[in-house]
Amino acid sequence: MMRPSASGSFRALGTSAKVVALDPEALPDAIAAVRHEVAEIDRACSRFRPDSELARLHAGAGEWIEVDPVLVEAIDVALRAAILTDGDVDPTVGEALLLVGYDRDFAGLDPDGPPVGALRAAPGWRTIEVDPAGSRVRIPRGVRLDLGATAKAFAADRSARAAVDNTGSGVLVSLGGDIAVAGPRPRGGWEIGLADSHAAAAEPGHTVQIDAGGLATSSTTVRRWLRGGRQLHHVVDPATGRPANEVWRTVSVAAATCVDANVAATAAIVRGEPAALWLQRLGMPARLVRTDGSIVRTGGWPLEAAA
Amino acid sequence: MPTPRARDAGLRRITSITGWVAAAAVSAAALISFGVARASSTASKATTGTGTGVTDPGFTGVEPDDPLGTSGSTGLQPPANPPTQGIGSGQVVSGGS
Repeated sequence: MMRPSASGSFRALGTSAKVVALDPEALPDAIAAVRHEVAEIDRACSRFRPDSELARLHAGAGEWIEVDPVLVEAIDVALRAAILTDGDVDPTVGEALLLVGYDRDFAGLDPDGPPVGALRAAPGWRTIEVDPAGSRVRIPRGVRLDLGATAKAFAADRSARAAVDNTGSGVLVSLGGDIAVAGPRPRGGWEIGLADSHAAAAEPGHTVQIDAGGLATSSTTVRRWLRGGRQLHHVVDPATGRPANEVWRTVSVAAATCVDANVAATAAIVRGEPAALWLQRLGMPARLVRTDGSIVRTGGWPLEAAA
Repeated sequence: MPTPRARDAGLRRITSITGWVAAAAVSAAALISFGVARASSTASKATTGTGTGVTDPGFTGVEPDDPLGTSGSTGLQPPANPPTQGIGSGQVVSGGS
């Protein structure tokens, strides 16, 4: 008879990380594997660490820069996201995020401040050149990348796979609510609660079970700040450089990978009303919560249990 | 030398033959036009069938100008099974971060 699973948490990527191992004895090794993978992603992709590979790429803008293959892979994931969302999830929003005031790790961000200046659209993912064979990347001068929309999910997928490879146990990895599962699963599946914020308790009755892949949630209710008395949030529309219009306050998507779930959820926030039809056409199970709290479900997403 | 009656009969025969020839020509022209139009129509369908941006009423996929339609297996992938309703409070919470 299988014993109950075990879990452990730690801080990573500016948020909380949680690892659940189906085999409790595998938990220490699973956590070690996740820590290692997450550290690799952070060292490669952080836009706030001066020693990151991304910082080095920004410093060499305009030239081909040889970078760690992990950053090349992370940029490749971000470019795929841009292609598949027609640019609604675009890694070149780095400058736009700076302009709206998100210029440091969120924990250190001043919650209030003067009005922001002129905003402008992201230069676009097509300005990025990648040479995978040479592990080189070239970005134009003035372009700043932000891999925040995909890097956490990318790290969750990699971490879950690495933990299973190291332990053989079924593993769930949550990085700030971006969830990847791999390996053997609990009977019925991995149980996941849903909320506007991953740090909150799950809303009563709002839990689902998944048996593989990933589940991610994007929300405009977290990472908010004031500039000139105006509420801003972190999901920037690349087409305008402004925080996306708030049609959906929270979108959760299940997909074959955490990356695909997160890309779809973030794109849905940016797209607004048409997102429900888009997700339905893709066959993506999703739960979209309007700002008034009403819920739209697509792709076979189950109804909430009676609370 | 033909009599006037014989001459009139000859003229009537020529007029009749000319009418039949004209009718046959018109019919042939119509048949040829129909054939050309049909062939042209078939060629047009073949062209649109292999081109981009044209769909038929039975089309259920993604428009060709959508990158998802050209990326095949690299498109956003739904899970093998959709989530099912949970029964507890959840081992973890998925929410914004």
